[in-house]
Amino acid sequence: MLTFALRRLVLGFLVLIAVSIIVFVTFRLVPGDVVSQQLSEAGAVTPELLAQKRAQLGLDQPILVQFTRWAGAVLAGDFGTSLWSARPVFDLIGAAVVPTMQLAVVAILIGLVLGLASGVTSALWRGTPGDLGLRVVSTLALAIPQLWLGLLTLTGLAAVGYFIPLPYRTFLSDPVVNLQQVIFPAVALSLGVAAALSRLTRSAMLEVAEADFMRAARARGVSSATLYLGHGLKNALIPVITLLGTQFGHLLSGTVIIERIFNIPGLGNLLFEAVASRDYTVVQAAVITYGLITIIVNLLVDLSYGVVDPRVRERLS
Amino acid sequence: MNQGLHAGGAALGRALRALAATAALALPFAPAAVAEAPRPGGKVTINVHADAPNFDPLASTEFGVHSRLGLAMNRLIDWDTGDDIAYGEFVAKPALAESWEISEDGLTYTFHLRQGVVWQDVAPVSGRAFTSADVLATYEAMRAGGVQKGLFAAVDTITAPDDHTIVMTLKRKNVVLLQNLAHQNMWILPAEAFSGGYDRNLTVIGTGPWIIERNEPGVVTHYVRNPTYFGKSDTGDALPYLDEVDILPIKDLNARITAFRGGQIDIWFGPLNLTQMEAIKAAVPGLQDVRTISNTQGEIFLNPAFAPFADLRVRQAMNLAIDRLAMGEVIRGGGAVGGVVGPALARQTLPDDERIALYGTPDPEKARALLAEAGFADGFTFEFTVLNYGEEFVREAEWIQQDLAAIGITAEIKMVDTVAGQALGKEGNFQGMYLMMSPFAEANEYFTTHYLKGGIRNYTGIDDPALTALIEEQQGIVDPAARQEKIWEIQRYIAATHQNPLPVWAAVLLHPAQARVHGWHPMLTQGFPSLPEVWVDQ
Amino acid sequence: MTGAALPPAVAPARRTSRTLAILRGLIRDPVGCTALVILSVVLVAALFAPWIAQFDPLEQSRRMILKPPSLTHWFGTDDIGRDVFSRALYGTRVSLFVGLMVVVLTMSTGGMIGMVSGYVGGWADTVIQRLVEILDTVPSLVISLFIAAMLGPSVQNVIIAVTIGQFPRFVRVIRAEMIKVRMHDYIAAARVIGAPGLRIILTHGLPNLMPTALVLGSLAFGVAIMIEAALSFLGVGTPPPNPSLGTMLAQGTRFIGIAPWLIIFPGTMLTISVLALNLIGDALRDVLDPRQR
Repeated sequence: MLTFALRRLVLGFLVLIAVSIIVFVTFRLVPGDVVSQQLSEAGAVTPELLAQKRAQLGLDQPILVQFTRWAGAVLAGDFGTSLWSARPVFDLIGAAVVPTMQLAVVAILIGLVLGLASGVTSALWRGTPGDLGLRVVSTLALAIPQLWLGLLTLTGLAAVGYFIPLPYRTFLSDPVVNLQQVIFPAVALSLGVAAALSRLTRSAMLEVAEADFMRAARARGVSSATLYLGHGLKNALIPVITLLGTQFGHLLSGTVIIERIFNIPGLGNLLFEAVASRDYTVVQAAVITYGLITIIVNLLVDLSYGVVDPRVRERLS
Repeated sequence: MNQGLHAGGAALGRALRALAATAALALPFAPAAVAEAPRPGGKVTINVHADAPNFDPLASTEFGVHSRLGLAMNRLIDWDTGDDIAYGEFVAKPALAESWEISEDGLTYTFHLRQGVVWQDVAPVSGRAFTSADVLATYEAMRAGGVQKGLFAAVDTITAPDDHTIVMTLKRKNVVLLQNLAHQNMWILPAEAFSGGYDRNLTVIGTGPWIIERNEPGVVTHYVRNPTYFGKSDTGDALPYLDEVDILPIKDLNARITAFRGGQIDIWFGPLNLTQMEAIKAAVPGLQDVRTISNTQGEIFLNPAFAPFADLRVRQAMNLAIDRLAMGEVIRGGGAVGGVVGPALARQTLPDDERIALYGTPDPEKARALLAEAGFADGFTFEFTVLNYGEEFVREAEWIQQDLAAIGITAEIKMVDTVAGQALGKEGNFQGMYLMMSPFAEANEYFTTHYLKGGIRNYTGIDDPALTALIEEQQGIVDPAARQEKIWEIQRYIAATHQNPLPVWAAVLLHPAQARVHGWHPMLTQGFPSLPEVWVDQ
Repeated sequence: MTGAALPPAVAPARRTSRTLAILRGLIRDPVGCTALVILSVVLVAALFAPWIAQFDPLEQSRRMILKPPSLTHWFGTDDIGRDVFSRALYGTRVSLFVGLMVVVLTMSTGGMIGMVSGYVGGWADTVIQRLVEILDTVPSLVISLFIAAMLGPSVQNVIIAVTIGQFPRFVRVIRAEMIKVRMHDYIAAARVIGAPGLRIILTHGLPNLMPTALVLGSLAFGVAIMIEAALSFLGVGTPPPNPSLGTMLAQGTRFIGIAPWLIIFPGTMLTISVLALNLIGDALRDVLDPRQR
């Protein structure tokens, strides 16, 4: 088990190195740099001043020199400072990861509750109009782009005159305000997860319903609701974990757009602005952070198989 | 459809012109004089739609930085504000310099610094007295490698004969020096900021009306009243009136509108169009509808390296194709026709009638004739690089595209982000380029950046000795009326001989404020110079 | 999810009859039938946009600014007087075009790479898998956003950006399928008699993988449409003046609460397109693999 986790981590680390090289090289091919942006509104800028500023940031060095310098520092745990703001990149990323992860986790939780509830209900009501209705709703929910859902939420809120309080607060500094800020974007994000989960849960439970031991139990007079919840959910557990793993990546993509729409100072907004201002160090770190989150989530998913299912645990070790 | 507007819309056209002329006065629609006495205390919240990347005024020209620094810092000279001063009009107001003298030859400036000023009580400066050494240290650092470097181009030496005097000598006459010292980036910092005493990226120590108590990027910049601020109102009240100010960095327009409607923002700063304004107005009782002309304008650069654009007649034809007044009304809901010098500089841009005659009178017939004369009777196709300054700006580009199509010119829009666009401009790597000009505060800035060889906005490589001579001459004319005449002459010359870039439109700038806010005057320069005199109802 | 939908391996059959069989299956399946109807409506709307739309999507009717839906302008007009209905039709066309190109590109390149990787195995497989893993580590929208921002906004660049974001999944699934197919007797037999690898892949692998690829493709189609909209919304997608559903939404955000039709109609078109493709994917899965019902 432990060696498996370790191997995954090492592999993930190698992948991150490759990602960072690709990002480092390709992003520098984009025209313009941070200096021209910093001085963009000055009327009285001279070419010498531009050159002077570039030299200060080390942007005049050959790209290989820049990369070795950067990579060396990163390996020593130093992500450098933002070219744009001169703040430590580590702090910027740290501050941005919190809202993003909170959004994703709250969305997953909402999706989990909604999805399991509707999946179980759907299975229990199999063949009734209620089942059909739930299936139609989940099919629709899968098709609605998060982008549009977010905008519709805003339109709806504007129509009823509700105002999301500002400015953004972290959960620790002001939980009441924070939850009001997070709940709408999280719901908009969660519907896709909920829909996928609902379908999966329904089919997993129906599959169990056909199993021999279920028939036997029913014959013994155990109520079918109890049966479904007991065995059906247990049967659904592994696919649900797999699904949550894959959906997490999807969700992380969604946060980029949702953060933009709901003005949440998360990783997506940070990356978007860093790209716009050619803030190389922040772009590199932000992409790596996305990679790191994905790797950790995948690892957790793999490990949780082991916890849930002893057979997997044996196979892995 | 374009024709439709011309044919059926003569009356509309007149109305538009009248509207544009009114707006171009650029006077804030001041609320009726309030008899009430200002009340100290309270708090206002302003939105600035960008974070401050850091607080080092020497590092960037970012408005997010300088508009925040304005609350905590002072310059030697400030922009005056008031009911009778236009948004884009520079009237020098003593700030850290209490008075100044200019020598007969115009080459020596002597500034007498205000006495008894102390720095904010923030470590390591901790409330010590402000002296000429601080001014010297700041200006020297700026001249060495600050973004302000160019503003000192005419300055020869800066010395401090005593603790409260600064003497500047110039290499050549430069009538805009006072305004350069009042430039929005020219904050005075304590000498410790340059000797390693503290990190000016993170710590803000000024002499200004408020102290930054807390800055959370993406969340809020929170200010509290500086009890030792030197400012006094006309009636002798200690300034500032407000105990607290919050600046919120809300980037998303809808979030901003929502926040304003919900009363979470008191003073609006940043883009907003008239349609949105009407909706806000309906929802917010007693809203103050303050309007000015933006100090940024759209400009179309036509690269002479692309053959058709080398011909003046083609550039003139394109100028005649664009229906700017209708465009400004429809897309921006108001504003003013652009000029070689932007219309926000009300005293320096050409008079409205003349600008409208030059740039605001479309004539597709004449345009087609000019094209035919230049040998492009069948029109031509060019790549129209458009910098992404947001939705309205893109709409303008689409509008221009349709107007050009009407005279047979096909503009193929190529969107780029602003950084890439400026890089392409500098390399001369474009055919036609549409961008938003920097917020200049002086005609001289427009001239030197656009029309001098090596100028940072001289994307079309203009190098005209006659024009260069005119620009340098203007810098030495002390008499305001004579200088204004020269500045106009230069603009007429450029319109007649170069017609490049084509000025387009300066949008109306809306500065709505909640009813509870009093004494608010938006100003072209960054840093909210009227804020110390703002007060609020309970 | 898709990986669970493995169709049973079948020996190669004549293609036309199979296509017909699939179509027949789709029509008989209630979900498939609904999906086909919706999809044909969307397709007709997009393909025949020039004949259906009464207005040029680019024509600015400068005195009809922000008009609500009416008999002349069914979906209202935008802020420079363009007809939203016409723009939504043309926007759907752009969406479908981008989606189709992405699917074709991912299916051909991703599918081929996946098949080769699964068939050959060994170090080539390892290298390909590591490369895919690199792309897979970063969320697909982030990859696409990064690439689109780098290349600059154009339809072609959007297609490239979305393709690169989508194809790792394709490679992974197709490879897994290929490994299973490789185990079958008739392929082993073909190998024994010395048939060249490429021919085995094309004649035996391809037909067997087609069902999976079809399901995967129709789902990827929907995802591609959504990502195109997201990129355009962020300003790095389909450039103006061409209407794209994403840019239309971005345009509408400035008028939320003032002109909701700018948000509602393009979004509806977007959702309907995605819905139709998702349903087709579902139905295909049912038809091709009856066990999953």
